[in-house]
Amino acid sequence: MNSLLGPLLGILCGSIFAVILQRGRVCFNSAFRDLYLTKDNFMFKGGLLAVALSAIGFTALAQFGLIKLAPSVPNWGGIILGGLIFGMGMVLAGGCASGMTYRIGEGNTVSIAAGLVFGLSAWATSSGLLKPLTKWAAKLDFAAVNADPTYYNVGSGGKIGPTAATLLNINPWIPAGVFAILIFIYLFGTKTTRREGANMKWWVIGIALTFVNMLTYYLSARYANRQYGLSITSGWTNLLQAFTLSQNGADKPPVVNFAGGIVLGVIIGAFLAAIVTKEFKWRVPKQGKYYAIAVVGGLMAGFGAAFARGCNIGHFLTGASFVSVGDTLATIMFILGNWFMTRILFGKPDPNIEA
Amino acid sequence: MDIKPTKTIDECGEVCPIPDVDTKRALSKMNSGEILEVLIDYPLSKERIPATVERMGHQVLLVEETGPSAWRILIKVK
Repeated sequence: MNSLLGPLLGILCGSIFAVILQRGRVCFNSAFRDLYLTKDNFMFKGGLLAVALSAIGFTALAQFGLIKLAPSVPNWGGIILGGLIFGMGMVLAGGCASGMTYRIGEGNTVSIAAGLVFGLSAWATSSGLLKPLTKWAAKLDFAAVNADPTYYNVGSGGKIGPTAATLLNINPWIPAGVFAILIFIYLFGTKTTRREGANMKWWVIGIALTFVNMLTYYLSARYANRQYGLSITSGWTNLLQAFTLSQNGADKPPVVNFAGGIVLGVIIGAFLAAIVTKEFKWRVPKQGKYYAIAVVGGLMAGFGAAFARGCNIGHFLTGASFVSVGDTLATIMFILGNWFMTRILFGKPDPNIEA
Repeated sequence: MDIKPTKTIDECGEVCPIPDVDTKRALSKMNSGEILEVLIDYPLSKERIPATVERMGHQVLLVEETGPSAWRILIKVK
């Protein structure tokens, strides 16, 4: 696309997203990890509320013809193996894909290393050294049948992953509603961990994330012909390609697209939010080994995210809202991988801690 | 507030969850009534460490800003 509108809107959406992440201290790595390590569900509930509200919101946007739902086609090997490796990698990298990215804006030097390696690793997996593996794994793809084109992005031969609605051949409103109600029962029927000093309550985080999730999906579909909401992995790959391959004389040199704009926006937005609140600081760990650990984490997370066709933002925040098989399974694998690596690095949860 | 900490850990530069985990490890090796001082510069840790240690039954005596994006937390071991 020649227009600058797409990437600029991507930057706008990424910036809004980053302000919520930075002010709300949103970190999906810790959201998953704390469920296990400190039995703290505060941040997990914030993310889950966004998924439940987005399930209703996305279906409504599709109903009004503003977007088409596009759950990614799952690949069994990719989802299970990639999901586990991504989940383990995010613990080592000190943040999920969005966490690494917005911490760059806060001046975290470890995240700069982790983020760049994450992008390179994802790129190598999707279209570089490991492409043969990715292509081979595509044999295990599982696309949906019976997808209703009113709601789903299946026009002109497009494929999507199966959802509860396509599997049961029912209207997407039914699974979206049931899914949201089940999440609401968990959210409001169980005790939420107190966090007195928190900038934003968990439900404020959830509502704010839903807003930016829906806004991004709408703008992306309307102005960039990209039927998807927030994502990080593809944006990193796009940025690296656009910045390195643009002068090689190719017929169509890659340019920064909407997804690349999101990543740029996340860095810019987090930087501005941190500057305004005087939280920007060049952060350097005392032990150099943390860079090495973060690089290994970035490598694993990048491979995992590309192999699973999405990170925790694409599969959890956006994808799980489709009530789709692949995105939900990917989320479960992310959490299991995260818990496994947390157990190795930080040991068992403290038995003295109260839930 | 002038309280002499029994032990100080400097977690500046470290990000979540390392300050949290180091704090818990330090607390587990200390005796009842002793005071742990934790120095941090990561905003999230300023919110999470007090919340977590209180749930473990320890008492947070102080969270004080010591500079730009820098804090010290005093915790009394239960």
